[in-house]
Amino acid sequence: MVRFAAGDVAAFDELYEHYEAPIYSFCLRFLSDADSAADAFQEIFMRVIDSRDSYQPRERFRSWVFTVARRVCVDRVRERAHEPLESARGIREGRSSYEEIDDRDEVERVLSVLAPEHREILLLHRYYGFSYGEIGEMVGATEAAVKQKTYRALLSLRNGRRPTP
Amino acid sequence: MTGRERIDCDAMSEVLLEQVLAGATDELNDEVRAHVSECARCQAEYDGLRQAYELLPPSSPAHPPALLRQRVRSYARESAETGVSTQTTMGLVRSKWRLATVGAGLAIAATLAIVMAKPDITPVGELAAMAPVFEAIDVSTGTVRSFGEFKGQTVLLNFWATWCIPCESEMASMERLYRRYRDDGLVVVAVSVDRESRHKVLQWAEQHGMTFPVFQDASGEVEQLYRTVGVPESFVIDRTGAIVMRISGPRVWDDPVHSALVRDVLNAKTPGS
Repeated sequence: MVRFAAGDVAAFDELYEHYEAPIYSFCLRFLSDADSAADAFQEIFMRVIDSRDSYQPRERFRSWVFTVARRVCVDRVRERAHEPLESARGIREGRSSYEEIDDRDEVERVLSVLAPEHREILLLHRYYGFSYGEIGEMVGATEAAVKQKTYRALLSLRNGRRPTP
Repeated sequence: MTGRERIDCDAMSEVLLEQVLAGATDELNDEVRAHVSECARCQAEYDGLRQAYELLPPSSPAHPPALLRQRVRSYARESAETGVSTQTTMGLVRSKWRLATVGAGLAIAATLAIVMAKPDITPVGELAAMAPVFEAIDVSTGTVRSFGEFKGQTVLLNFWATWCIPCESEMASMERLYRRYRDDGLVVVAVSVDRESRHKVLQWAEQHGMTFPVFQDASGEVEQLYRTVGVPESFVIDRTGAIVMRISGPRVWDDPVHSALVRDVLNAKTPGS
């Protein structure tokens, strides 16, 4: 990021290559909607680009970018709660890329039964390897609270299980 | 468990959770295993956590569509080239509810209108409709012209009106975009939906320094043809005549995102090229 802030676009390309799939997967699994995920993904990286001059190197980039991702996704969930379904369209490449509704990522399908706050914690801990402490910093909670939520998330998953297709 | 400290069941929940999430469902340490085997409550808890954990499928990365990748990279390049943080501009474009603070006076008024207009973008992609050809009055000459004149070119088709406040600032950005890419083949056509005489529309266009073709659709037929829902509304049309993007609401057309979008369409290869 420091190199990118100095004008080295290749440095951004390196970052992007490394985080493209994890961030996109996170958005898809958090939002359970490909259109919203695409919109959120673009927003996340544009915020990363816009913030290059203010990024603090002492902070781990990975934690930072996932914090940005989490905030954008949470905002999308809140927006969707206030919008009629037909107007909640995001930016898409083309309808053919998103007609694979029945072939959603398995993780996405399984986690979609959970409330957003449980979904994000399981995603961040189980799939992206963040510690409880790191997650606590991202979501503004204590480590103990995050552990509790993780525990409840797993139990919710078990209790809210959908039959497999 | 002689000589060992008794494990508290409440503390066991946390231990079991850690072990299950680490995937170590079959590798409980001796102490934990011993407690679980003797405590029905903890056994049930452990079984429940294992069942839930086993519902979590393995992770496989998902990649975004290529167009998203192109846009992000284009935006990074544009930002790096301008050397200026575009956060303010992007706030104007992206934000639905936040007030952007771009400039003062007319820009601020236009910004408020833009924020309240709740802009929307719909790329049409592979199932793109072909842009309907129509005829309309060219306000500068008073003669009838056909949209078919622009066949084979990349066109930004914009529906607007002299009474539309957001259209006014958008038009300025369209003019800047046009000047940037007209030598690369970009065509901009602005269709006014005003019902008044063309002279009023022409006067407005001249006052605002528009150098691209301005048509007038006083009958509303072209609006119906394109099924517009209001003004401003824009269509990006590629060289094959396909509508590749439909944008409801105003845009800052020469900002990095939209500039990159238009450039991508200009540079896109068409069959046979």
